[in-house]
Parts: sequence; C-alpha cells; structure tokens
Amino acid sequence: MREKILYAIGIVTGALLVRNLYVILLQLPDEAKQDAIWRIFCFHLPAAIVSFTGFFVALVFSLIYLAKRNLKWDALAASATEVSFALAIVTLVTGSIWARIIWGVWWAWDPRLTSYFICLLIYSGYLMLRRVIDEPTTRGRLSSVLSIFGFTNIVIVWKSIEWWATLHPGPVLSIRSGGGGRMNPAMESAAWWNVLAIGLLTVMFVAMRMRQEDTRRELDALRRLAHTI
Amino acid sequence: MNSKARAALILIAIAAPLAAQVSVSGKVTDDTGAGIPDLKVTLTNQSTQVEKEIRTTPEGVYTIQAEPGTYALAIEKPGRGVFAIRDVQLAAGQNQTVNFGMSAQSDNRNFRYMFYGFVAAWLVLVIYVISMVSRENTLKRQVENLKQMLESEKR
Repeated sequence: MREKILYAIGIVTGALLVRNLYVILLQLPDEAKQDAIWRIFCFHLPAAIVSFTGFFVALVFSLIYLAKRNLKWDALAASATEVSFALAIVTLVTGSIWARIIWGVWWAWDPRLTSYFICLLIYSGYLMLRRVIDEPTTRGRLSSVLSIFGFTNIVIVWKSIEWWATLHPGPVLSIRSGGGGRMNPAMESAAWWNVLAIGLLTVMFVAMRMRQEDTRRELDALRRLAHTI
Repeated sequence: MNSKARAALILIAIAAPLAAQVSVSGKVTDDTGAGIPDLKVTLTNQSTQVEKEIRTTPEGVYTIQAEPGTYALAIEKPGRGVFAIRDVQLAAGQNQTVNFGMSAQSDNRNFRYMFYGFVAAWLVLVIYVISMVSRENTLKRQVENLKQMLESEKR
C-alpha cells in the first residue's frame, strides 16, 4: 500500500513538474529588469520554502522524540532534515548563479547569505553527528538538541531581510509583510506551483529515506545481538 | 457673465485635467545603443486596469501621457515575449523616464545562466537520490552479512 501511494505521488509530482517547466520556460515572459534569469527564482524560492518547512517538521519530530523517546520520531526527524538539507543546497546553488548575473558576484557576505551559510553548517554538523554516533538513543538525543538549536537560526534567516538592510532582495511574495506583494501575480503563481511540486517530491524522498532508517534500525539491532553472542 | 468670462471658464474646465496629466517616457535601445523602432509599449493603471498603448518612434523613443497613479509598463519584444515592469509611480508634476536596454548579448548570457541554474538544481537532487539509493543498498548488504554471520554462529 505504502509503495502504491509513493508511486501515485511520484506520478503527480512528475506531471506537475512538467507542467511547471512548460509555464516557466514557454508561457511566462522575461522580467523587465532581470530578463530570463528571473526564472531561477521559480526553483530557488520553492526549494527554500520547502527546506525551511522540512527543518520545522524535523524540529517538531525531534521534540516529540525527546518527550517520548521512541526512535521512530528520531528516524522521521533525521529523514526530514537530510532531504531539507539537499533542498537547502539547491537554494544556495541556484541563488549563487542568479547573483552572478544580477550582482556580478557568486557570493556576498550579507546578513541573509551569512545566516544561511551558518544554517547549512549547523545542519551538516547534524548529519555528521548522526554518522559518528552508533548508539541509537545517544544519537537521537544529541541530534534532537542540535535540531532545536539549528531551527533558531532558520528564524534568523527567514527574518533577516526584514531586520537588516541586505543585498539580497527584500520580501516579494504577497503573503509577506514588510514590503511583500511586489511581484507580478503570474510569476508568483508559477513559484507557488513549484512549491507544491517540490513539496510532493520532498514527501517522496522522506518516505524513501525512512525505509533506509528502518534498515539501519534493523542493522543496529543485529549488531547488538552479535555483540551479545 | 459675459462671453469672455464664460470662454475662460470653459478653457479652464478643459485644460485642468490635461494639466494634471504627467508623462512616462524613455528609449528602448539595442546592443549598440541605437533605438529600436516600432515596439509596442503598454501602460496599464494597476488599480483601474485601463491600458494605453503606443509604438516606439523610429528613434526608439516613447512617451505616454497619463493621470497620476501606479502603473505597469510593458514592452513587447518580438520573439522573446513581453518585458514588464510594475509599480511605476506617476506623481503629479513629475514626469518619469524609464529606459529599456534590450541587449542580445546579455540575453544570451542570462539565458545560459538560467539554464545552468535549472541543471544545477536537478543535478543536486539527482546526486542526492543516487547517494540515498547506494547507501540503502550498502545498509541492506550489511544486514544480510550480519544475518548470515549470526546464522553460522547459531549452527
């Protein structure tokens, strides 16, 4: 049943991504100030939104793990964090390519980019920590604490464009306060459709990653058994 | 009221709205800086959605008169869709200038980098999926090896 649901999500996601690529590349016009490069935004922003949501979900699962000490929640938190980290890399790479054209540089140490870089460092630390600790409960406890610590930085990343004068563009989406809603509605709509597509892709990846956590738990149990023998 | 005063009042009534009008103008240029003629320029009032349309002159210049307000300005570029700019503020007594540079060279560079961006985004995700699948296979192999080892230990 789980496999069938995964296949169904896969088909819907594939169809959505094809539809979105058609709209972004062939239907929407170039933007007056940015020309064709604005289209990167349709991947940059959805990847950022979905990764932030994923980190938030991981935070919730980490808190539940700390409260209930059930390794299932830790596995869910780890899966959500890892997939969100991959999307955060997508955000970073696409943003950097956009910046090369618009700003003339690949990277600038402005508050949004710097806080984002720190966020990536924290979550890469989370993933490394999980690799080096073999004992499941210690691994779960320490990584949950790191997940809580990491999410405080996500809040700083999210609000940085409102709190400080950044080189990074300010809020453009209509849902954001502090100057949001300045974007062409058709262009914004394309970005939201991609949020949905990338969101579904993330659900699929997390489910795939959960299978891996199940195998890992089985391996941990077998190792403990092997030690007793 | 004598006829002169009446004529003056009529003149004021006609001229007042015209005097309140402001203009948005600019030049659309190509790579060499030369003006591009005969491009469709549309000015849309963002609150009323009323549109005004004009074409660039042989020198690539356009000028549109409008009432003060917030406008979207669009220039149709043959073969590459519409260049649109929103939130052009036209305030009373202030004429706006909005120039457009339509460089074929920068178009190509922008398009190339956009393509790199799309490829990079997908490449990251594909690499992630490959690493996830290979890790899962490694874990499964380790589980199988341990199971076999434990079986042989039992025997």
